[in-house]
Amino acid sequence: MFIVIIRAIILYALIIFALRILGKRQIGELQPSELVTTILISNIAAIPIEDTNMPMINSIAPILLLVFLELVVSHILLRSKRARSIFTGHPIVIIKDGVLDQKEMKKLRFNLDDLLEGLRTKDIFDISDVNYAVVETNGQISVLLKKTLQPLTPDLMDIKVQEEPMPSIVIRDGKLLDKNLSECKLGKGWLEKILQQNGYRTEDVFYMSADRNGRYYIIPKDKEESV
Amino acid sequence: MKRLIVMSISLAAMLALGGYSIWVTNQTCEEISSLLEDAKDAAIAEEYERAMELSEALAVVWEEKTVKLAAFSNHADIDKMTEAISSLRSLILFEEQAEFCANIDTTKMLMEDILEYQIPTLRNLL
Repeated sequence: MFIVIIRAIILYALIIFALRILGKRQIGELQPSELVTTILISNIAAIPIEDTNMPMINSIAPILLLVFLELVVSHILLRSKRARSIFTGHPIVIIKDGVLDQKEMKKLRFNLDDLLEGLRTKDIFDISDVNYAVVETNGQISVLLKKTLQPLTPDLMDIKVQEEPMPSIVIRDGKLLDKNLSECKLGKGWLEKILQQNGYRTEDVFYMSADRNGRYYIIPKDKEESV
Repeated sequence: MKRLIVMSISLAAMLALGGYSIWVTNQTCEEISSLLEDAKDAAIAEEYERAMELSEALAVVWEEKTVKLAAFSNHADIDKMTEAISSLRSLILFEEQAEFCANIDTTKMLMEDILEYQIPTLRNLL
């Protein structure tokens, strides 16, 4: 069993190293250490299912070890900036002041199609709209639009607005969610009154949300079936 | 921090279990090897009845040990050992001395392989 543990440590280090070498393009949404843990855990967990000759403990031990390593790594990353740059790298600016940094793109092995695809996922179809674009450590692109193209906000208009409380689901598929209702500080009396006003019973409602200010939204159930 | 402590305890338990697995396998290996040696000596000395008794004792001891061994060792290796041990009784019953001794050696090798599989040597790691 010690062999399994030691092999797990060696493989963990090796895959992190390999993913850092591969670069951000391959990583997707997870941080490198998280991805390593996910891949290894799923594979290790599959082996004893496939091979019944293998004792379960040979799979449990490395999985626990990997979770432990992931926790240790995340604690180290929390405390050390240097460790963070080793394990997760750092964000790279590829568009600065509207100018595309082709050198950084080459370093990241990020081609124009990748960039345009990343921008399109942010609903940006023209590269000239971008003031800053940053490739994050998880491989995603963060974008800051040029000031003239940024959405108009009350702040820009110098309009004062009040913060709104978050709505909670109070009825889901005909079932009352007491906890959410009390979180909204609205009583059952209020709910019954609202339902009565709209001509529904609780069991007729597919979805109902409400907030602390008493604002609500109701979707009644279809008469024939419920989801 | 709480999760780290929980995982540290789990890991310590796993390491302890790793050490325990080596200890259990080593004890089993010693016990089985000693019985196999005795059975071989008895067969060489043509004390077939004693060899038969030892082979039967061996089968009983092995059956008991497999319960713990199955948790740490490859089940196919354990099955191979069971097969080898169970063949010993028939061989000594028909006084097949040479084959009996050869099977004793094979069984000893299989047992040592099971133990060796547990030890983190460089050969095993690579």
